[in-house]
Amino acid sequence: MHDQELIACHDCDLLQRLPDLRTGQKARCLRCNATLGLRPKDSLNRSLSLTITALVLFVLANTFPFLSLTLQGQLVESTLISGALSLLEAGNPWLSSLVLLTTLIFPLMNLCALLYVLLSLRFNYGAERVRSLYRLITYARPWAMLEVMLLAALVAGVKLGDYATVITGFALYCFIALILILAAIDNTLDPRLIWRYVKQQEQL
Amino acid sequence: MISARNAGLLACAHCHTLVRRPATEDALRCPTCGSRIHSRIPNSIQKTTALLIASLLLYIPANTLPVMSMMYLGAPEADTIMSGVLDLLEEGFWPLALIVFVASIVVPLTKLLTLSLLVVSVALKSHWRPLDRTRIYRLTELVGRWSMVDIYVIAILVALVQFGNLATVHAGPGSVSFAAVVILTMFAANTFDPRLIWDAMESEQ
Repeated sequence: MHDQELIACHDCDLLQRLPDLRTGQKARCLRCNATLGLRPKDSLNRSLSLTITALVLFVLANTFPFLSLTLQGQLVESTLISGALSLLEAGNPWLSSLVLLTTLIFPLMNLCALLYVLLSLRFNYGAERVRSLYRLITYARPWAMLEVMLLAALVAGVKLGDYATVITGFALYCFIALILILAAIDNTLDPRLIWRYVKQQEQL
Repeated sequence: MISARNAGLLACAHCHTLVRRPATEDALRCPTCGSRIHSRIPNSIQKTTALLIASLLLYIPANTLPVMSMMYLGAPEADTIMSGVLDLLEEGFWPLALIVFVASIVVPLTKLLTLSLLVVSVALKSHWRPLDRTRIYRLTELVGRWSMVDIYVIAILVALVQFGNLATVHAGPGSVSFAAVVILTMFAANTFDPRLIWDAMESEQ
């Protein structure tokens, strides 16, 4: 498809040629073993369908009850966003915004931006925004921590199990599926595909 | 074996585009993605050290002050990070207790230690096991986020346990310090430039 590309390893700066990868292959740095590139099968179409799935699951996971608790006849329901809202009401604005940013705003922003980028590549339309949107994703990605939230839900459920009855909601199952889909996106999306597109657009 | 820097090139940290290295790197932007690019993160060691010192100081209130207080049938009970782990253990959920112990006590502490070790080794231009040091760095970067689990547990409990006089949960003063430690060590890992480990190896060749 393209010539053997000269690249520098992002972890050790070694200059080397990236071999032409066959589908499913990964390239690693000769010196420090960092992953330099991957070539997933049908990357664009698969990432696009996974991203749409993830967005649907994201909406479901945020609308239905996540965890509920009954104690002596009283029922308290919570959704994913309840934690941030309750922290705000209780006078913890810093914790509240941290939880809100890392479990709602950054993940949602990343998914929406990724949807735009992939649609733009797929239908070759609106290319001028791809560059800044995909850059935004690379910056914001470490701060989206949905998978950590899932572990927290497990811990919270166990902690409360002694005192009260914990009811798992529909949103929790959507959330578990969402985490799996997000992991799948990481394995099907080839970032080089997107940057190559950006480069091509600029040369036109 | 030659680094991009010694070949007069530099790579963008975000899209990996290779650029010819100009005389001054100030305000240099990547032609592909438009981010600011540098051959090495400027003042990497100073920034990482500053963030490490800040997190080390905050680590003390994060572990001594209660992160959460639970009121059950009129009896208040304050939990620190460690007592939360011990509670899980007493209830017999040792696999979960182990996960939380690793995520909220082992990870922040080893992160502080390994990043300090990396900073010192780079400052001394050490030649000691560069591959292992790079691996340690990658691991540090990967696991740091899992320490947020305690903050999310608090958020979920505060939202769920709202039974008036019967039972309530509040976030304690330690929780903000703990969150700050997690965030600051994540920034510290980001500002550390692992390519510095390999620069020391090349300068001797």
